[in-house]
Amino acid sequence: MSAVRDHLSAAKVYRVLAVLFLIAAPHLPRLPLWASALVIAMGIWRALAAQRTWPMPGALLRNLLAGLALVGIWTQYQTLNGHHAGVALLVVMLAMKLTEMTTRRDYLVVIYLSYFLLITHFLFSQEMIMLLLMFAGALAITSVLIEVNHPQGILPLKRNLRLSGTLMLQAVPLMLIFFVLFPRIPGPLWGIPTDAGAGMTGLSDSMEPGMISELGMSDAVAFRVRFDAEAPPRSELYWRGPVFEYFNGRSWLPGPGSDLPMREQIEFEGPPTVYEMQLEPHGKRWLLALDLPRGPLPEGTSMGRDLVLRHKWDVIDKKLYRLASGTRYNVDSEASERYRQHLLSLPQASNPQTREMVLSWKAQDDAPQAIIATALQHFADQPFHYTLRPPLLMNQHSIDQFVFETRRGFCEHYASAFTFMMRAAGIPARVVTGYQGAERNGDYYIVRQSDAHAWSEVWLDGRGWVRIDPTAAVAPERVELGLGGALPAGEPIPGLARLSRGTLVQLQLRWDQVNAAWNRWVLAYGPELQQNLMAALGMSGLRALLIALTVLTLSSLLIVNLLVARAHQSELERDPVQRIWRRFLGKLKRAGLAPQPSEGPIDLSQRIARQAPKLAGDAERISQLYVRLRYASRQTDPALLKRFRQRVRAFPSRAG
Amino acid sequence: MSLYQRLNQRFESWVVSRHKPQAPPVTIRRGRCYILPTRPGYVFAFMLLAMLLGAMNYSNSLAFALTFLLGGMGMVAMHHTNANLLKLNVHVPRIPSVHAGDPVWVPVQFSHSTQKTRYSVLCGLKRSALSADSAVDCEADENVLSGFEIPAQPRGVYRVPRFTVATEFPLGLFQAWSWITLSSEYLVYPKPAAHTRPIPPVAGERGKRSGAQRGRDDFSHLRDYQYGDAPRTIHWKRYGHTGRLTVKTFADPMDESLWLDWSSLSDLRDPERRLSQLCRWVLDAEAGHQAYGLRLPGVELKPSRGAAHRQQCLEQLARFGTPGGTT
Repeated sequence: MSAVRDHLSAAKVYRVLAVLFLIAAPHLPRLPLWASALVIAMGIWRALAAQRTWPMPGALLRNLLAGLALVGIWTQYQTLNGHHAGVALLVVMLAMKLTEMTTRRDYLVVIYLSYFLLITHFLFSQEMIMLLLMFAGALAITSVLIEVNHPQGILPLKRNLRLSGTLMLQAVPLMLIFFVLFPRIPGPLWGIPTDAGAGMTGLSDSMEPGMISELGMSDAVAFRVRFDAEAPPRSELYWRGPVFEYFNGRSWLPGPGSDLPMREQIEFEGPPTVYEMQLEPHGKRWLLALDLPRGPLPEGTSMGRDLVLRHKWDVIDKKLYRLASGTRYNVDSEASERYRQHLLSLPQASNPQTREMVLSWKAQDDAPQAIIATALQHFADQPFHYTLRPPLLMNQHSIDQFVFETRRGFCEHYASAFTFMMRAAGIPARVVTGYQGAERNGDYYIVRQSDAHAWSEVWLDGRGWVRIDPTAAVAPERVELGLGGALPAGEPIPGLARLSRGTLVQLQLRWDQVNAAWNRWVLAYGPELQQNLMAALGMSGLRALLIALTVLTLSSLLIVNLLVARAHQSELERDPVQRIWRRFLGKLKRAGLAPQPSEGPIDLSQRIARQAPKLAGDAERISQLYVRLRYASRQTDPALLKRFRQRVRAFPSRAG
Repeated sequence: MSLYQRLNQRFESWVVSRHKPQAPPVTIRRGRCYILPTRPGYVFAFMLLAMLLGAMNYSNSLAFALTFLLGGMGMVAMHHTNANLLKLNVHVPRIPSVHAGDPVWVPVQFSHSTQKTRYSVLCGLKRSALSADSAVDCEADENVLSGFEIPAQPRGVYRVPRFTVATEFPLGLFQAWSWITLSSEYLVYPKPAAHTRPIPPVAGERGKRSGAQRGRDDFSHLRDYQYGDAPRTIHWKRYGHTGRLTVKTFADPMDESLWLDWSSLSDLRDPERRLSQLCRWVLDAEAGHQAYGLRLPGVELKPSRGAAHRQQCLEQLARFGTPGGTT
């Protein structure tokens, strides 16, 4: 049992605990239940210990508890690395630290750790609301830091918050200057934990029946796009995402080596469409792009053999990038025989009914175009339905079951079945997932998760990869009008995908515009935007940046200094009459008529009359004004003050 | 360590050369106020660096924003810490004299006429030994008393050593301080000798009463301190609680006088021991409500009694043999 006197009074300890809770609370839902319970129990115990002056537990018990917590986190996450495990470790250790929080040093450790805890929130979300958490958190932590540095007694809350609030407000200009001008360097310094993207919605790196229809229920924004010129028509807005080349009978998976560098030569028709993408984080590497990007790719990205644009790292932050794309193109390459075989491969003896049907089409006409047309015609003629709620496909031959029994599916069912048919007919084909369509909002377009889509690509000799969208054969409105127009009445449609618009939807769209600006200017601010901004201001290079940073920092610190000095002025210094009078005395001093400490204003003017008769009249008038302003009445007469100021200004600062 | 210490020494000796002893009160001016980061300040900077690296690694805009906000607050806090000390008036009222072997308490009084309250102002002998117990808040136009202790010293007259007034408020990241060099003096009386020799007999008819210990316990009441009261009578405990100097008074003194003579103690070789013995007698005579005079080589104080007289005697004992009154 340690008998150390607590550095802080119980009232201060309550404040520290309240602030800690404020900072830790948003993390609690992310923690395992036992950890949350532990944190809350520790807080309550520490508050009681402060109230009843219980001694802190001994080192043995403390270390035992900390060790147990460590083991608990290890068993929970199997690692101490990664965002979730790291944050859990930080929160639990902070709670453990409460058992030995007595000296000033202990409190400082806890307070510094809570600053650290505050910053970890931004790993999970950078929504605008988090800005509020940042300011509130920084204010709260700083207010208890002030208490730790004020050993006498607790400051009244209002006074404390005024002190910490002043500090923070005066620091905001510095924050802005540093945010804009501190040299940004691209990319991670040491890599990013693998669990960073966990829990983000978006396309998946495999495709199973039902996966995209699940996404179809979400109104979440997938990305926003701003076209430099006119947007292409809606039916051409195919946003390319992950491509799947391997079918295992149930799921579509990426092919081996699909991210090998692209060797294809692509010829584009028509002028490029130039646009800017604001991609929401999805935790995977691919960057969505309007069908095929052309021209120079953004820094740190590459295009693979599957024609998917990929980033060096997982996209766990909002990404801003510019692209030029073509929607009509001709991929000119000889696919190697091995690659061709790979694009034709299907699991042995799966879905025999479909295979048989395709072979019968092929027997009629084996030209690839004819087979494609027949397949699409099959979807259009037979009673196929487009629905967000397709029946589950439990059969081992899931494509047979879909094509011949249920005939109700979402885009992934059609894309999957069509690609299977093509491969069965000997036409190399693959599944492309992404988004289709876009919704205009002001000067940009929103693409939501509910716009997620899947289609097929077939390889035709001489033309290269050709996009075929089998869903369009079943529900042409999907491509023309979007999900809301394509689904039959009575289906649950996510609110924002509906065609009719209420006030609420309008409000949501306005809010989205604010969010878009936030993403574009704040979250995506990085090396590139900084360079552009500097170039727009006519500055370039690191040196100009550092000079601007230094000059602005020093000048804003100077302003802070003046503000602080002004707040610490004495009443005498604040008084304008005194200020002007001192200016007058300064002029006299420079003129060699330095005032004596014992001299009053009247004595002074009399002495000046003797020593410098030329100045006598002016000096006397000034002295008399001073006496009147100073002693005649409590209220300062503004007209008199003005005259006083003018006379002092006019007084010569050099004799003769 | 050695380089840092040498630099520190150079700096301090430069500062000492700038500081001429002044009569209190003094006002802390910009040119006399120094500021350096504290240890927690360096730790804070290190933490910001870690945050910055994290923000860079994750290209996380809000993490950048928080890092820069905290950095800005640190820089702003430096100015507030500095301003917390500027224009502060430092006054050292009369320093209560003590006997050799007792620590000296130097009262330090703060005041200012600016609007902002000055929080957590500390004082102490050395920058490295500022106690949080000395922290005071100083509202505008208010005198606040703090102080520090000087360890026990031998008998003599001393000038107040250069001491430190400092603050780390509001964030504790920086310490602003000023060294105060005052011309104020204080006395250290001889340490009273043990009660081995009785007070010499009074040269009068009622000499029998010499050496009486009477009156020591005849405590009558407390009253406010007045100039001239002997420090021995000050109720220190009460001063510690209330910050006000109060004096214990004793029952009416008797009408007797005696001479306490340096030359009567010729058997003691060591002059300090003689002074200690004289000191003991002065205290006992005063406590016994006797009139007493003091004879030292070159000094003679007529028999009298009362706190002022006692103090005069003790002062002569403290100053004895010190050139110009100072050591």
